[in-house]
Amino acid sequence: MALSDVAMVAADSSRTRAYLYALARHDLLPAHVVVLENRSAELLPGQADDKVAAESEIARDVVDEALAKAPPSAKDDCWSEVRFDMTRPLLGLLDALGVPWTAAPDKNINAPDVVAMIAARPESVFIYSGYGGVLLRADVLSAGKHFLHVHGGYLPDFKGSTTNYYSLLDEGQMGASAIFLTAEIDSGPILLRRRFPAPERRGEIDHVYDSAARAKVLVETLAARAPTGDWRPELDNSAEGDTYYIIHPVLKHLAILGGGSGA
Amino acid sequence: MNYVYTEENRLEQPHKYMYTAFGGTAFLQAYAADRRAAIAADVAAASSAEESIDANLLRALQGKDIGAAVDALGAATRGLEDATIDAPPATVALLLALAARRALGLKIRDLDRAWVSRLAQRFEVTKKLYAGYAPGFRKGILPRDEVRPYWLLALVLSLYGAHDGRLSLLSTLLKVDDLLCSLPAAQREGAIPSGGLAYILRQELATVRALAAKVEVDDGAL
Repeated sequence: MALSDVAMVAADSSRTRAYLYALARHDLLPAHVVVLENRSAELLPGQADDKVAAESEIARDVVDEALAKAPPSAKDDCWSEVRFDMTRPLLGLLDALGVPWTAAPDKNINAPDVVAMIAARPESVFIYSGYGGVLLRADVLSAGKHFLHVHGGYLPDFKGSTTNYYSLLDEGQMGASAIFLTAEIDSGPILLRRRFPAPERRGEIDHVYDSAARAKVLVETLAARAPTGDWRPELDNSAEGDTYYIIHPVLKHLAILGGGSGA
Repeated sequence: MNYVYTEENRLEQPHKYMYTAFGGTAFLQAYAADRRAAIAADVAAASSAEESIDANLLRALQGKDIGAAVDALGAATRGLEDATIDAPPATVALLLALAARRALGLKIRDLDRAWVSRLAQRFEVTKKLYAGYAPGFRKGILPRDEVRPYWLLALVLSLYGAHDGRLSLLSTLLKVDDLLCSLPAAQREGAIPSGGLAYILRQELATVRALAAKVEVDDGAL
């Protein structure tokens, strides 16, 4: 069943696939998807290459049954959204799920034509699943839509980039937080946030576990809010937390190889 | 395995560090070996004869007597007193003030932390550090390829990051140190006091080792 007032603007990325698999399993698919296709040969941040997919122990096990309706026990399984095919062609997946889609004229969400396309859509809430490192600028933020974003980290403590690695080093756990995007990075009011235990295969955080944590929070947010249209935040996000920048690979390796609590 | 992050001149070819590959403990060994080589080379070239504010700053941080030079460090701390985002001083003045405060054992203030965060943010956003910034402290307006500010930034990140245990500053420090280690020795000469690179790299390695121990990563890798 589609959520009539919810659309999605989606990069061709592993996170988008995680979202779509999760939304399909829980009957929360968007009414429409605006696809930010990358038509160049060079992969963009967030896109998994063949090597990543080939080395993924989790992706190897994904079959179409991963799209089957989630069992009731999924509610209590924090990693219930970990199974998705990170390399399945996105447009084929959308067609298989019966989700209408439109290819955006540009892969950059801030391009005027893309902003106009989004603004013209009837849905008021857009799930945002963009390419890494892209910030929404004033034009798209003032297009009359609410952009629902799931940050990969527990807000407001961990704002910024690659925060789940810092979180693992600092607290031994990960997080994900659903917010509406504002001009200030990761500072929109928090709709829902969850903590997640350190995953079993930390080498697959980038494309699998971080995406799965965000997908879990997305599902819970939509399940709680979309049917009623009540998007009141769970809590304010104005508290000062540290802002984190892309983690240096030495620290990333410590987070992946580490097994202690870090606390 | 080579430690690739210092293989190219990072002033000329900044690295974005996005979605970096996982290389296991071999990667950590390569990193540590790269740093140890840079320390050894810097120590081998060191001379103790240098007299500059940076050299005295370094001596003070190493607990050595700097005699009358302490007055110069005290004067340097005043670089922060009238500094605002709308009227930012030259970057070197800011960094010297922050470093001198630590060298003189002065208490860290929220004002100091705010400037450290701003300087780290400027470097992270552009992977460059400008010698001066326009009002608003966003647009760089003076040269960005002078080496000395990067060394001072690394020193400040090391001093304030270690004190507060801020992982965010440690991550930025690692990137700045990658940049410094990627430069040919001739480019660093005259810009960094004798033994100055070795000093910051030793501090960095010690902090990384401590973190590795805390999260139970095999210290043998480092």
